[in-house]
Amino acid sequence: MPDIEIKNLTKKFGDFTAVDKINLRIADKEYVTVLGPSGCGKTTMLRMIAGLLKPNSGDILIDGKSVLETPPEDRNIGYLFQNYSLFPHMTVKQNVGYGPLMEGLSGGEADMISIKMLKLVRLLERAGYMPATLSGGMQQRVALMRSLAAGTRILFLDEPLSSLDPKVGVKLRYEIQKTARKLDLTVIHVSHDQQDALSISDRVVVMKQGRIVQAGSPKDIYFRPSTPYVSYFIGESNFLEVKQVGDGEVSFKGKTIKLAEPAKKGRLVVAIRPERILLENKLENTFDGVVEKSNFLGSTTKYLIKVGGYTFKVQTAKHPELEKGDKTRLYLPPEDIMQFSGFNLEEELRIM
Amino acid sequence: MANIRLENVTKRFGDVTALDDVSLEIKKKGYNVVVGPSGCGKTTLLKVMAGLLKPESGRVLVDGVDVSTTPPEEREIGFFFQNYALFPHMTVEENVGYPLRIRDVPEEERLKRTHEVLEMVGLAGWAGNYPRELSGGMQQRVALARTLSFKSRVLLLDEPLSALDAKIGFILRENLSKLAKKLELTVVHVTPNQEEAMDLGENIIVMRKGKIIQTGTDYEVYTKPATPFTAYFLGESNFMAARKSGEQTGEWNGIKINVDKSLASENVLLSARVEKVLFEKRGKNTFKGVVESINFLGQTIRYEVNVHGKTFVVQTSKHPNIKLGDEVHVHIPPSEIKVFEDVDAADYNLGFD
Repeated sequence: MPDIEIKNLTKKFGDFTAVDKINLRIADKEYVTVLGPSGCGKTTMLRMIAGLLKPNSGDILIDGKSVLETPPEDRNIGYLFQNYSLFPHMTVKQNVGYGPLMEGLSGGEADMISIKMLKLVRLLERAGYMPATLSGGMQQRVALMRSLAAGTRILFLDEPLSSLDPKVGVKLRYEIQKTARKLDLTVIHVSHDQQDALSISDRVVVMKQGRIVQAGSPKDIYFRPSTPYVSYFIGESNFLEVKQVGDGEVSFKGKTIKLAEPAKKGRLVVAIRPERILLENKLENTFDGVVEKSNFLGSTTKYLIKVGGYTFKVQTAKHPELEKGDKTRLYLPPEDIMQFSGFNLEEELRIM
Repeated sequence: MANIRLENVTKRFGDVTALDDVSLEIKKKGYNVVVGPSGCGKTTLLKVMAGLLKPESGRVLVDGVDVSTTPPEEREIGFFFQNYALFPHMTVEENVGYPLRIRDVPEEERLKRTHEVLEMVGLAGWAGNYPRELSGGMQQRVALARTLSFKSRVLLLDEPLSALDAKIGFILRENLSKLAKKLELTVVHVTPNQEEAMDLGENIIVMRKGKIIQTGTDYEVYTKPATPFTAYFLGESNFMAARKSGEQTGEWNGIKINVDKSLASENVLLSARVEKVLFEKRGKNTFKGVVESINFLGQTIRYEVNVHGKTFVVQTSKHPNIKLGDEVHVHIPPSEIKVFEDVDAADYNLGFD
C-alpha cells in the first residue's frame, strides 16, 4: 500500500530556498499532479522523494517508514523523464524487460513481463523493433513501460509530455492515466501544463516559489481557487479591483455588481472566467461593451470586449457572430463571481 | 509588409523529400501559421523562405522579385529559429538592440524599441543581465525579442513558444498577436501546436509529409476541412469508417448514420467534431454507449463513450451529471457530419500511431 508522506521538507541551494517546509500526503493509488511555473520547486521536490537529492530538513515517509537513508534504487519508484532515453541498441522488448532482468529474473520471465506491458500500451507488434524506428510518442510509451516493468507501484512523471508534439502528448496523457488505473499505481506527476494537470489527476497541487498555494480536486482548483494566482495560472480569469458598497454588492467603475454571497472585507478583487460571462442583457450585472477583437478558436470563439477602460475576455461555444466594433451586452452571473480579499493583484499575476 | 511566393519548391535531404513541389502565397500583412506534425517539412519551408536552405527546384519571390539566389542577409527578412544563439558577452539589452545597431538606428530610438520588445516578452527587468544569468526559457524570450526589435519586411518564426512554460507561451501569444497588428507585420509562424495555430493564425497552412494539405482562414480550415487529416489535426474529431447503405446513409459499427448529402462512393469516412456531439436522445443518429472515461478540462469536460466496442468522444461545456459506467445516449446532428469520399487507406487509421 504505497502512500507517501512528506513533512516540513526543505531544500536550499545556497541562499535560494527551492522547497520551503512542504507538507503533503499522497494516498495509495492516488494520481497527484504538482503544477507550477519553472523554478517553483516542483522538480526539486520530486527528486528528493525519489532520493536523487538530499533535503536540508524534513522527512519523507513511504508506507509510514522514513526513507531518508534509503538509496534511490531501493525506494522502488518508477521514474519517467521528459527525454525518453531508451537503450538504442536493444529492441523494444529488451528495453522493457531490462528492469526485471536486473532484478534477477530469467530471460523468459523478463520477456513475459515485457510482452504483458507492451500489450497494455498497444505496442506488442513493435516488440522486435529498435527504438529509433518508432515515433516520439511510441518511444515515450515504451519508456513508460520500462519504468514500470520491475513491478514498482509508485510512478514519478517529470514533464513526460513536454518534448512530444502537442497532439501526441494529449493522447499519451490519457494513455498514462489509464495505465496508472489498470496497474493501481500511486502517481506523482510534475507539470507546468494546466490542461494536463486538470484532465488526468485525482488531485492537483499548485506550487509557487517553493510553497504549496493550493491542493485540491481539479474542479476545486478551477472553480474555487484560493488565490488570484491559482485562478490566473489555471485557466483564465477577468480580474476586477472593486469596492464594497452593500452587503452583497461591490462597485466597479461606478457600476454596481451583485454577488451571490456577502462581499469579503478588506482590499477586494473579484474575478470571473471568460466562459462564464454571457452575452446577454439582464436587469443586473449587465455592462455595455464594444468588441475589440473576435478570435475564432475552433470549438469556441474568444472576444475582447471593452467596457469603459477595462477589457473583458469572453469565451463562448457559439459560432462567431460579433465582429470588431460591434456593440454588445455582457452579463456576469453572480454565482460565477469569485472573491479574493487582501491580495496585491499585480504581485499575484506576475509569473514571467 | 511584403508578399512572399513559393513556386513549385522541392527540397530533399538524401532519400527524404522534405518539401514536395510546394507552391504557396503569403499575402501582405497578417498572421500566417504553418501547422503540422514533426517531420512534415514546416521548418524546411521557413528555411527556404529565409534563404538558409537552397531548394533543388522551384523559386522564392518576395514582392514579385525572385530572391532564389539572394543570400539570407540581403533578403531583409527577420527570423527566429529554435537553435538561436545569444551573444554571451553582451547584456540582454545589447543582444536585443544588436539588429538595430548594425543598421545604424539612432541610440534613442534603439533603446526605446529595445525596451518595448523586452516588455513584450516580460523581461524588461533583465535588460542589464547577461544571458548566462537567465534560465533557458528566458534566453529563448530574449532571442525572440531580438528578432522582433528590427521591423523587417517579413518575420519568420520557427516554434518560438514551444519550449516555454505553457502559461508563458499563452501570454506571449497574446503579445505577439498585438505586436504584429500594431507594426502591421507579415508573419509566418511555424508550430506543431494546433491550439496555438487557431489562436494566432488569421491564415492557416496545414502541412503533412512535405505537402500543403490546405490553406485558408482559421474559420475555413476548421469548419470546412478539405481532408480527414485537417479534421484530425485541428481540434478533435470522431471518425467513422462507413459503408454506404442508402442515399444519405452509411453504416458504421452496426449503426445507421444519416448525413445531409448524397453519398457517391461505397466506402466513406465520416467525421464529427467532439464538441458537436450531444448527450441527447433525439431520433436519427442516436445510439447508446457506456461512459468509459471522464476528463475535466476546466471550460469543458471530455467523455469517452464505448459504443459497441469503439470509443466515441464527446466534449461539452455544460456540466452534465454523468458518471463513469453510466449508460448514455449520444446524438450526432446530421448537419454536423463531414463526409470524406475517396479516402486514402492510411487515413482510416488517423491518430492511431
